[in-house]
Amino acid sequence: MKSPIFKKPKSFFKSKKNKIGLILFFLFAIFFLLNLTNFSNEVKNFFYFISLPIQKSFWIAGNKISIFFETIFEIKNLKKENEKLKFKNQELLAKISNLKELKKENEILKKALGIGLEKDFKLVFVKVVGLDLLGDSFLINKGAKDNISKNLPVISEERVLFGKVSKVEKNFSRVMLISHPESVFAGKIQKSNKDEISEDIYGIVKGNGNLEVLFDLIPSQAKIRKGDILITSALGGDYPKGLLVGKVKKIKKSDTKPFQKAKIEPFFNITKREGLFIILK
Amino acid sequence: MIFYYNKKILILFIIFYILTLFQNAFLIHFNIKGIIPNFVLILVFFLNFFEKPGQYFGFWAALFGGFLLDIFSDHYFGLSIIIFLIISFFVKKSLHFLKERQIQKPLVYFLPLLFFSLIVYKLFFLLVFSISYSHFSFQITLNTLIEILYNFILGFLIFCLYKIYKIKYGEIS
Repeated sequence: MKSPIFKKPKSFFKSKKNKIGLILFFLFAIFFLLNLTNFSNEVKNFFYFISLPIQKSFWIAGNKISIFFETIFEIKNLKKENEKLKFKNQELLAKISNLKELKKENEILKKALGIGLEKDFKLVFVKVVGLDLLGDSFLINKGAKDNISKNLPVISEERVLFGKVSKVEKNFSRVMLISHPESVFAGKIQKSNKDEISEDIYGIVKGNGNLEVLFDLIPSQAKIRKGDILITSALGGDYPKGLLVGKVKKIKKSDTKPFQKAKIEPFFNITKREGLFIILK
Repeated sequence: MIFYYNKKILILFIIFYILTLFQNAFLIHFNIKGIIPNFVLILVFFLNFFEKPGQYFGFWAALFGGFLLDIFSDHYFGLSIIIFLIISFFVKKSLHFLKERQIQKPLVYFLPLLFFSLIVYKLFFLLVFSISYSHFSFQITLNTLIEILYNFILGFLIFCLYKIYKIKYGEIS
């Protein structure tokens, strides 16, 4: 008969509760370690590096298939859009010839005043390798070893602003879209001479998550319209001036508030992009 | 036996790895107003729902799915792991109480648990973003509801396909 005094003690690891507690402890320890140190960037960089070939293949395949289906769905609209574009093209050709004259005049005046020409952007071409729509950001294939640094603006060849570099790892970087909740910069709506008020309208462009962008702190007396084009204004120095942001979709105005705000339909379309440019300062 | 178990876990990790890449690089092109299906979340839920009591693959699924989503996302590392573990624990505990017809896992258990898991997942991230970003307000927009509904319908369709597969191969009469 076994003596009750000499019972074999239970192993710590045999208890289910202890096991769960230990696992949770390690998980939290890893959680803190990875977030408070740079180690998570190393881990992420490793995974991005090994995943690049597969991600690239998925990205290209997804792009091709989505374009194929889009073409099928858009067939009935293609003729209408074609007519519209032909007409717009003619309008733009007329504007180009006017602008050519203005450019000549401008150069003559600058020469006469001794003002230097504005420097062109120094650009680096990058490819999109992954997208995080939940976090309004995407991954590009260049990093610290390619002289990429934080806060560099990212644009398309049409001068559409996508966002800025938010995190840099050795071989990859993460770009925060302008719709990211942390994105805030100065923007303006340019008014032409045809409008009732020719003064530009300044405000703050804020990201609202989920690919949504708001134009806020617009003076309530400013007359903005649906379809107005929003560009960067260079106030605050986040982005160079003149980059395309989006167009006004919906206006929220209140008689009791000193400012109005507008919902912006951004011009960026990250899913249709393989390549973008980073502006090196 | 241990080797067989470890091999299963390794295969599980590879499945989640490919699925995460597929979600982030392929499905992104088929987004509806910025919403893509979250197959990783649906798979984690499935594995936890259909797992027999006493097994731990659901736990590993939550860990791997969360880890990989965190790797390929911009938010704090570990957030997806935490929410997936919570969902895994919640599903297992709920099923433990729903003893009647536990083996057959009827739709009447599946749908509410899936719906609740999707809501918890989305609200968790909205809460985290509203705390992390000063001008991000905690609000349930139409997009949020569409995303939950989208994933819910997909989960339901996958459940139906799974049941058809099981009936065809004679495991359920």
